[in-house]
Amino acid sequence: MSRAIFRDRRESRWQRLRRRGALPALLGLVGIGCLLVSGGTLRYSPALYRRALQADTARSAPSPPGVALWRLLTDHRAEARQRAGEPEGGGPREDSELHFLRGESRAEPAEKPAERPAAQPPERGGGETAGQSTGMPRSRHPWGTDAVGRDLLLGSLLAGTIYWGPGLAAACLALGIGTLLGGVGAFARRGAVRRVLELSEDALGSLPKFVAIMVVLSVFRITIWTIAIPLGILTAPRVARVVGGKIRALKHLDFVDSARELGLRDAQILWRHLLGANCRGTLLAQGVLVLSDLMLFEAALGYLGFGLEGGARSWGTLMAEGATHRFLSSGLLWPAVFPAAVLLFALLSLDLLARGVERMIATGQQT
Amino acid sequence: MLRVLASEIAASLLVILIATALVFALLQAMPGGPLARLLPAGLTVDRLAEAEIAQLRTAYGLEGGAVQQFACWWREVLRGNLGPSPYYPGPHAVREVVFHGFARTLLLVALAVLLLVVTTLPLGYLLGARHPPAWARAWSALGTVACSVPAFLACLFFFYLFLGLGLEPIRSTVVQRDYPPLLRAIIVLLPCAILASSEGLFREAVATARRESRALREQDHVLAALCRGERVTGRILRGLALPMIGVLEGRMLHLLSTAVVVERVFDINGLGYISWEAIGHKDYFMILAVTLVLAVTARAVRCAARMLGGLMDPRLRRGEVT
Repeated sequence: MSRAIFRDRRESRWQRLRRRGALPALLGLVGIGCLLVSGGTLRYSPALYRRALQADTARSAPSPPGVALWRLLTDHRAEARQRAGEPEGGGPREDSELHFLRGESRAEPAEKPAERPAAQPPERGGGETAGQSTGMPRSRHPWGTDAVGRDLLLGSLLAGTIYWGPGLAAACLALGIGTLLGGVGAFARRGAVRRVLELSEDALGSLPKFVAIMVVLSVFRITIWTIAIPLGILTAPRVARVVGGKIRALKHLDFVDSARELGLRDAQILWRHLLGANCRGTLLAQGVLVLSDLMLFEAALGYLGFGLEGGARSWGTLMAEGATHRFLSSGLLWPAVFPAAVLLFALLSLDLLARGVERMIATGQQT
Repeated sequence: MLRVLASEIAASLLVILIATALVFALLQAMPGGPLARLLPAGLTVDRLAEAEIAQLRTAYGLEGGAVQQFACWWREVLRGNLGPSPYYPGPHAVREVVFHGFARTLLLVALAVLLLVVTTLPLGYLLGARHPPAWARAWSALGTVACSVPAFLACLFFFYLFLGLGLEPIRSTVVQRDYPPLLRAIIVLLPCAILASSEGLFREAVATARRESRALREQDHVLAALCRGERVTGRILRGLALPMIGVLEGRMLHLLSTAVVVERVFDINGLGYISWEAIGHKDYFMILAVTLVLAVTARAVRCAARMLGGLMDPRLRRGEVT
């Protein structure tokens, strides 16, 4: 009998998962699990580990991809001029300027280049190293090799493993601070407590994430942890906003009044009945999204020239290494495209997972 | 209404003060302190005499402890001076550079918001119908997938695509003159479109519009209008305005922040580019000024959204709903 009931519950959950569109999320989860397991396994395989970490320590960090792209554009122009038979040192083609954007009249000269320092990557980004060699994808290295001959598939898998610990820490920070600010702030009956928590939430929420994290990275050494911890703190207002909205909607319902009548304290009602029973899915989804944010920010900061230091391999550093001028100008796209594809896959999976889990738990609570 | 506005402004001042204090505290931890970052290249604090250091500290408002320095910086800010910069000439260089860049970023963000509203409102309206058209569903699904692509990857992809097609993307605020008008419009709007779809903003806006559209279609005044044989499109679109303002208000700082990436790729000399450059150079007053301007903008947008919401919905004005 109990087995039949158990089977019914299991089937209904499975059906719920399929019906609510969380199946792609589950597939994403399996994909991420495979990535984690395979990355972890390879990491501890001594031969592969040695091969993967054939780091050339003398090699400087690559320049940010943006610089490489503009250099590519310059080459493109030079080639076009050569094809047209113009001299090499010929002046640039006259461009039409969008004066409404510049806020200047056509007759006036454009802004003086001397007023602005030349676009330089941040200090930690160096130049490209001459003599780099890259292997094409072939059976031995299906994704090809990077600049110093390391397997890119293995590198991408290994890079995925660095996010989990810091991501978990960032999620804990974001959920802890966000729940305190949003949950307690929304449920508190004393106006002063609510006001202080709301102000703290607003103050944290008024800091632009990219700028604040870049400031932190300019002070401290750039590691995945120095990205994850400020990111966790700066993501707390988003969690607070979501959790606060749910608590505000729930706190006037009858079951809260009933719990008060039964003698439960506010902290118990908040923790057990509001957060634990009704916001579980939301909190879980927000935690997953923080992990996704960490991957995204790490990669974007790597692109902006704030790549991880000390030879750490991440999707951001792999992409930055792959999108250098030398590769792009030769049409060698895979060193940048494959890590980008893995990052995209991970982001999509985590996004679907977060939404699917939230819906699944919410549906479970309704039925 | 005025009381709400006064309370919002008071809260905003406090929030801006705290936000700038947090960044100020971080900058104090920079190696060598703020003074070391303000000296010309090749000159270090060790090579200066005590009297010269004291003179420089007085000139830059870096006397005393951190609290005194912060108070001094705020005093100068209230006088309209955001400080000097070792990388830009002039005593009010930071103010000029920041406001010049801010105008560009604001235009970029405004165009992104316009694109977002123009695309998501009709889409949300259509998806909220009982039988949404297949193309609207497909567009929404495509947008959802596209939203998962990080802004910097989208920028790189389009940049490389343009190069592959033999086209030049927008650089700073310049596009090629010999392109046809439609292509020029696409090139100009591309950074705005990437900004508008970054990190799920498009998806959030569509989801909100669809949800609200469905809710509005079941409201009495809409049903009554349908019974009278009137068109309800205008009513529903008007009803969607308020939730959309809420979404945009909540994500304004995100848009301003993500502009760093877009401006960096397309070389637009906006606030994001300036902040990236300032942080790379550890330009002390420039970083503080950028933080201040971004925080003030975020709060100003919030105040404006609250006021607009109050004007559009009497229940918000009376404080019956939040």
